[in-house]
Amino acid sequence: MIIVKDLTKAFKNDLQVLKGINQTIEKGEKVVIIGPSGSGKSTFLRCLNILETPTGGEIWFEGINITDAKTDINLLRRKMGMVFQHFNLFPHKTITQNITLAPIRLGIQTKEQANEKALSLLKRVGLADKADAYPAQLSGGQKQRIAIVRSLAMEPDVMLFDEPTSALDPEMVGEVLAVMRELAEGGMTMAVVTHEMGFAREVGTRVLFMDDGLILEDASPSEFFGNPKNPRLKDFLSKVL
Amino acid sequence: MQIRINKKVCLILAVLLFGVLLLGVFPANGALAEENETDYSEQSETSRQSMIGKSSLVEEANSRAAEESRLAAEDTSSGFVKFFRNLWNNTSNSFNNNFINNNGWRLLLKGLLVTLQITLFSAILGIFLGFIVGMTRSVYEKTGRLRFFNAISKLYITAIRGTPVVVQLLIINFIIFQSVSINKIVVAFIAFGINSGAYVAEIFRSGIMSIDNGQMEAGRSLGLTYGQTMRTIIMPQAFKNVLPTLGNEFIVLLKETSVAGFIALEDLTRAGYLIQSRTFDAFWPLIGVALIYLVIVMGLTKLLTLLERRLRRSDNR
Repeated sequence: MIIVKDLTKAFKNDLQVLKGINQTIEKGEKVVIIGPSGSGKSTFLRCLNILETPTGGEIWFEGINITDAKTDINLLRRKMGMVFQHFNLFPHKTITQNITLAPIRLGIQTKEQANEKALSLLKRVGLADKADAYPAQLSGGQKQRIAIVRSLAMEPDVMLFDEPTSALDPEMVGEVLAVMRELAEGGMTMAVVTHEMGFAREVGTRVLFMDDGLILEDASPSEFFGNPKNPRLKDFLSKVL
Repeated sequence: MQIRINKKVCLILAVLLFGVLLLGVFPANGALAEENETDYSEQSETSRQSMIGKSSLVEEANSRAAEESRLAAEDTSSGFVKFFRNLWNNTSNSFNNNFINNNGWRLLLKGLLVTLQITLFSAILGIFLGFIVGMTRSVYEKTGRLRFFNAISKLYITAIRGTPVVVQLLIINFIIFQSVSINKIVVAFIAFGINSGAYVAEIFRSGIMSIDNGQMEAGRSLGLTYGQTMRTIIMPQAFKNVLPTLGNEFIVLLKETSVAGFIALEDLTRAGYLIQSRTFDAFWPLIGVALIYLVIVMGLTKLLTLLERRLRRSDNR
């Protein structure tokens, strides 16, 4: 579904963040990306929907080369939901408006359809009573669940999560992970950058370890945590587990 | 009492106000030129008259003073009461002389209309210019595009902010429109509009830059284009953030138009000055003009507060 070939990314100050990444994500996979901060894992995820423009290599999504300048990236982003560390809800819109804005604006759904869909999604994450609230009235965990719903309203084929629980109070992490877990059980293709080892072990179908702009380990969760091969990963796991 | 701003009512009021002020400037174009000419002769006439009027006024005042002193001699009331009676007589006389006789109020009203016209049209021009320039600047700063237009915008802002508005007004009147016969009000609103545009541009730019990058990313990640995200997500928030500053800019603009007299426009300040030069009394004309400015500014402030409260709804917790 997503094929990444020799992906490189350098920032203006000659900082080489990604040094050649090759990766294939199949439909239905839940790929969890783990690594120390500054390892390039967020940049890698953001390259997948061109929020960061790669400096080299190719990314193919559903048979289309999205790194080609001629590709309409706006059309492809509709099929790739993204959830951010800091939620990035639209503070001047109500929760329902946050969810329905893009589908209505882009002419994918009528207002009635979008509202109906938003309500059913809100029910799924247990926040139907917040439909007319503003983001400022919600807790961090609630905001992140709304952010997930907002992405889902576009009916994406793949969901990208960029450290979705890192900005949350510890007691709110569970409710967000529960929504993600339910999503995974529903068969959604997911790529998740996270520090939640428990989530990686239980939900992930494959775990990647990134450091210094490269993928150093690519294994199933049991292999990854039970029998790590890369010395850098062994060191990392000994510190975080 | 709760004042509700209804969108429709606001729109209708705005259109009406705009229409009235527009009628004031344009259809009168030809007529106004004529009027201007007659105004000059009228002015010299009135100044002559006012000289005559002055002497008759002095006579009148003298006889009135004599009358009053006779009355005062007969008056048996205490000094305290007398003091206030005199004060009242003096002030009301002065008020009458300045505003009621000589048609001073009419002069002020005409001046007020001119001031409002200049302010409204230059505010519109300022917002228009400021929006384009501010957008250009912030697009350049965020994405690096529009390098050429950014350079022009920067030049414009530097030039306008670096020179006094009076000098700009004089340059536009005496150099740019030197050989063109054009309504002075149009000259003034172009000058003040160009001036205001530079400040508004910086206000808009700071507003757009104050919105977190994550908002743009969130919009784009949902498949919205740069323009759609700008219009539906960034601009509304930026506008809400800059509204107090923007309001302040228009209050400053309203007061800045008081220098329109430099190009022989009879605005509110000039009207007060003209009355003063006719009656040789500074107190009432100048205080009156100041009060009129004050009332308008207070009204504007109230309007802005209402608008701000409406836009702040999403901040309620």
